[in-house]
Amino acid sequence: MDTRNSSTSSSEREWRGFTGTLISVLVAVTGALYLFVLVIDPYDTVPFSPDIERVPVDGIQRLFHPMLAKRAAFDSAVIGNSNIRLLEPEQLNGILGGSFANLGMNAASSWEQLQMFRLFRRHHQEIGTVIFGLDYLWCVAGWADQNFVGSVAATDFPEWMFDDSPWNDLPPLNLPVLAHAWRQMLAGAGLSEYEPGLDGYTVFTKPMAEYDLDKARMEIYGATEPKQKIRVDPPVRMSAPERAELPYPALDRLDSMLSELDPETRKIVLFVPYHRYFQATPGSREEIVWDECKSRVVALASAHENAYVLDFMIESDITTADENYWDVKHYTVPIAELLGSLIGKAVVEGGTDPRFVLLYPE
Amino acid sequence: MLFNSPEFIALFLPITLLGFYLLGRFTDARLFWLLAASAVFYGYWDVRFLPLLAGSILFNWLLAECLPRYSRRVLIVVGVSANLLLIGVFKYFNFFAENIYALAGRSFDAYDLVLPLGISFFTFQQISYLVDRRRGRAPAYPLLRYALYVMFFPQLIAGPIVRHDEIIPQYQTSPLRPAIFQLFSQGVALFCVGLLKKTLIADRLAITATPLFEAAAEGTTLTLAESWVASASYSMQLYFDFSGYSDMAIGLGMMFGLRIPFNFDAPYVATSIREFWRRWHISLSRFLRDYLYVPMGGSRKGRPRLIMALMGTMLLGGLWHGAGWTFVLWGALHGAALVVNHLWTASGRSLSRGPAWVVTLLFLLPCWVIFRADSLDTAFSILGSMIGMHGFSMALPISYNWGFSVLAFVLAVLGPTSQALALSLLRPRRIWAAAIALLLIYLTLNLAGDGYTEFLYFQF
Repeated sequence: MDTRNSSTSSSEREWRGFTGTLISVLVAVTGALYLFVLVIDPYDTVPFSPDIERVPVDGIQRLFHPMLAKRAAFDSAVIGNSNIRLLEPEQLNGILGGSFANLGMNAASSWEQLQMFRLFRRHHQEIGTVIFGLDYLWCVAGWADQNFVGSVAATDFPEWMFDDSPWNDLPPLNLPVLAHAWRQMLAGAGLSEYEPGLDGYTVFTKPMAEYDLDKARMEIYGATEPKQKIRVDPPVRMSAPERAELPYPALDRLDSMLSELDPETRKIVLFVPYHRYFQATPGSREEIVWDECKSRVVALASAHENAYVLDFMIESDITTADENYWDVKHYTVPIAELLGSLIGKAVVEGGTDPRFVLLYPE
Repeated sequence: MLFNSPEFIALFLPITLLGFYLLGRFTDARLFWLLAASAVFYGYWDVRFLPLLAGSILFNWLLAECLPRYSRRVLIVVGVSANLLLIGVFKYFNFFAENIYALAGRSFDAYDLVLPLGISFFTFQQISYLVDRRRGRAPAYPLLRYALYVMFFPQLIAGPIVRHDEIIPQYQTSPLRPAIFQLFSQGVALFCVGLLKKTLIADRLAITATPLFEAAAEGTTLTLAESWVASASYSMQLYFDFSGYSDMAIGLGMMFGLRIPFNFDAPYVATSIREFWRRWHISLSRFLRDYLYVPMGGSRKGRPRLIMALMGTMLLGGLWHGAGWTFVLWGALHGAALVVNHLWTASGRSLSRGPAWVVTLLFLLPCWVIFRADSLDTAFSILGSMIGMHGFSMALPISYNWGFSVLAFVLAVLGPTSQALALSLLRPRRIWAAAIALLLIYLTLNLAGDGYTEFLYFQF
């Protein structure tokens, strides 16, 4: 035999083996990794995955709250963003009855909140109570128009988890999904260090022992000394027709949510307690925009049974005390507990309190 | 669709490869399959540009068919002019109109023209074919093969700029041949090397370079250290980005049994600017040499003509990269440097390799600043910082990673080239095959999770 031909065919055989190994490893490892993701099912979306309990294993609410929104164990929900995430479901269960899940998502736009609400709605025939936390994302045109705020882009919001289609319920295969599957497996084995909020509640602020008033004031005022808001003088005036022209595109989404709930469902819409320094300046155009927004929300709520509109975005003991806040938007855990009890006072007891205004029913 | 996108790697490429090899025995069928895949690849960005590309191909093919029948130059002039007009409208119209209006003391509202991707590359390829056809150096090709020559997706968007006689004859060769296993495997390895250069090196260098250039564009004066870091980081980023893209393109070609010429050969080891251009964007250098420099007289018609040819070639080469004065200046500087290099060599003087390398690098770095800057003002501001005109502060961004920059520099200068890694050094051992497969999986999953960025040369 010609040694050259023999050598050539030997080399060819080696490369053939190389190609075979390359393709085999590519297919086998990719397949094995995806099989792992499908079996572990980190977001509880795969229809045919083993029936084991899955928990949120990361603080990305957009990925992990959909599994909670679908659970039959909950019949009531909190919808909103980080302003409302500290409302504790266990406390709400005791005060309002039912079984709450806190489905708030950090910096969620009104559109994203609508998606979460609809997912919850689709998976629950009888809903006890829904609490909606409203902030500037609902009342300030521009922000209110947006689909994505906290998630920044469509690619960061997992629409496939929220839609009706059964054809896209399998998670994608990428490193973060693999990491979540791994953590889910550890959680299942009791080896996870992450403490999940099984009802969506997690304390995302630092422990109160680490609270530093100077730091908080720096966040609120940009200085360690409190500042006063200066009233706009003369106050801005706006005619009724001008007020009627103000755009509130997000409120259509609120109207949709209220309309999609049964008359028996208790609907609590609350304006979250921003620090007074962050609220609209008295006499300003911004104040009129907020007032009009609140009026429109009352008008929407009044068209539905069992609806309540609570306004915490006022000047009160809560909103004027710096020590109640980490920054202008985020209050402390004790204030969250107080809010829970004040909601109960307004809705269950029909009581009044200077720390809120019951805008509807009057 | 980007080479570094999960949908390309996990869907488009496997399906295209599968179809290609299933049709391997049928030449026209597999070529048509590749052409259809290339159309999908191009149309994925913006389907509106597909008719433009198809029209351009058909026009040039018909013209090339007619060329030998007419002895007059008019047809080739019409052909080249039409191609230049196409690229001129999309790429240069606003630039020239703005400057003409400015000369007349008037302002011009630029038209919102979207640049069709790859227009600079596919137009140049077609011009080269027309010119070769006119010179009697190119045969007539069937439309299918000619169209695939222009549209073959691995090199459609950003090259390498391939000559017709390098690729079209390969179409006839069946991919179902014993040697395909080596070619395919080395192609995958080269693709992996390119993907790694893009995602793990170039994109990380961009984290340093981009904010510094953006800050300078917004009017911030960079410190001495920042300006050098910006310049060095971008120089390395551009190299790893574009050579990574080229590696991926060439590797993809090899997966289909086709050899595309290499585009980079360790350019930052060059000890002269002439050597640099033999190592950087080789396919463009070759095009400029064959279709601009030589027709302008080259080095055979005396020194004045040589100087004119070098300057003219590099000015146009600069302008080819983009419609802006920064590119014109960049081309002019490179032209001038090539002239000096020629005169220096002709005078018989020489410089030892070490100093020559340093001088070459010290020329290239400021030139890349001009190339990258959004305007001449920004470029001059950074260049001013580089020579201490704005002080001698060594302050750097807190997040700056010295170690990574040094590693990238060492890799660019001392590391093996991609072709050496994937072709010469790679042995047909199964353990290497498994390692490459795992690397490809890791890089793809990483891209799928973190997102991916465009290649820098897509803008040209």
